[in-house]
Amino acid sequence: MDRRDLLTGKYGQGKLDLKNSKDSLYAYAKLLGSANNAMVHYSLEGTIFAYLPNGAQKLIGFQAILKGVWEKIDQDSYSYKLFESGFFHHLDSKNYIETFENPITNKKNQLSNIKGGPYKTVIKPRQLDWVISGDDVWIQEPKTRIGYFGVSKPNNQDKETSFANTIFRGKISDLNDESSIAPSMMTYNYISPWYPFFEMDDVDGKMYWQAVGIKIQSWSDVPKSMKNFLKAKQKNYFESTNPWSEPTSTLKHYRENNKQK
Amino acid sequence: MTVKKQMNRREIIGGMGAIAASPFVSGQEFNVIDRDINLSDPIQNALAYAKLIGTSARSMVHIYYHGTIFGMTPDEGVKPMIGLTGVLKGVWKPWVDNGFYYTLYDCGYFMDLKTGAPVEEFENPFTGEINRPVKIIGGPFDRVIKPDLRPFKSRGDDLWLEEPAYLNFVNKLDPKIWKKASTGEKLSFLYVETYHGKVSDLANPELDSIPMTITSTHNTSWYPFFLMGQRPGGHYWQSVGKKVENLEVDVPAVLIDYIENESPGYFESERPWKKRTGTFQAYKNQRQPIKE
Repeated sequence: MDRRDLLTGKYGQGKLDLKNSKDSLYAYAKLLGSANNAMVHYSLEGTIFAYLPNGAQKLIGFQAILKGVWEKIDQDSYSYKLFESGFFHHLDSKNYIETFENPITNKKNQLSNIKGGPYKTVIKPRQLDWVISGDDVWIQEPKTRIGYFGVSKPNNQDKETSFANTIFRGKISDLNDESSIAPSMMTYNYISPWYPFFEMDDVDGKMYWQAVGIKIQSWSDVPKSMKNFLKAKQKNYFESTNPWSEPTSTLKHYRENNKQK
Repeated sequence: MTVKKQMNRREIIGGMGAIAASPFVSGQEFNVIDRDINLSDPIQNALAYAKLIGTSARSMVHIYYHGTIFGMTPDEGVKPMIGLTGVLKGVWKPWVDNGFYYTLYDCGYFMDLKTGAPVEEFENPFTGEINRPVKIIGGPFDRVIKPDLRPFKSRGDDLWLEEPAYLNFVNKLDPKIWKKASTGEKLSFLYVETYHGKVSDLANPELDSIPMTITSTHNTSWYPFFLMGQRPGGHYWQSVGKKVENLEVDVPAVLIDYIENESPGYFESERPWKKRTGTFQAYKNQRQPIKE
């Protein structure tokens, strides 16, 4: 990009053409993770709202570190493995908690940690729906999940629907530079039935998870409260490319721990 | 103080061209940024809010947005329904007691999910019926920003603020009369707007208004034009966007043309229209109840 392009805002006229599926794949990998073999992390911070028939209210806070282990398979494909590790916290503090006085039920909840992955994905060139405005670019990943959200997986219970939408934002000028990893901001929204550890089966409503985070460069960028949590509960999570091998999720992790009690 | 009633097109196109580079500020997990700005001070916090979302000067800002509405029902899950795009206008001025006052307008259109073109009708994926959306138009909505402790969050030079709003109010559309358009006697909304900017920009005293990107998510009762009646569920409205720095670079030409045609002078005027309106009011004004 030359000075004239900067002055006239012609950010899209670098080497990348996001309408081209190969360029688009490269940009996607570079924005979300890495266009080369690398491990990237996002540090997320958010709030869960209880969305009740008579209105919404903040319920609890949460933090998570998302880990993506990216591999470039060839010119036309990448693979990545995702992990997540995190915790819940009170709305007025960032320290991790294991029990929670639920303000809606007035019961004491025994919480689970946030734990998920490895989720493995291979991506190939495809048409992606980028939103572009000047030098800013966004891509969203809406995903519907259908499953059981109860304490266990009963045979006679209907499956329920949840919906997650993740939005990544970056700069076209960053995607056009020589590096293989671009700065990225992530907004995560998740609408779900009540998770079982909140013990709200009798309450009409749903959960709305909202979080924001950025791709971080190193351990020094990890918030202190998250460092404390990882040191206590998930040692070597940040350094390892494979912190655990058995696929899990927050729900599965909770159920397994619950079974052992 | 010079009060400027109108901006010309060139000023809007020029936008915030005077953005200067500032030293990188490092920090993490604090609500206070101990460098030129102190967000634990309610007055500086309000100033930071104004600079990020709008402007601390007597001026206007425009925010471009682009998104999708997804419908959710317990039986049929989640389906994308329609796209949307528009430009918010905020007319800002400093206010008494270290506050700020702004008036917000909204103008845009619902769009085809594949082509992005404005649509006058579309097929509702849940009902199979043809729906006719109203135009996106809103405001004037007035708001005062008082000194307060808003929970800004930061990582390195990135800073963001999540602003939730919970609204429950009486539906202007009586469900006994508007059987297909009204979801009930009350409407329930959960809005979360996330504004993102740079600490270094915020700390720059020479900037009244700093670059900002926005992510909006709205969990709401069904819009009336979806004609979902009291069917369980609702919609999830998400959009991304940014404070416009250069109108012709940041906003698609088709949207600029649409707005200038629908509301001539929208970009230049501080008061593009006088009477307050919104999606539900516009529907009530423009449509008739549908008989079963």
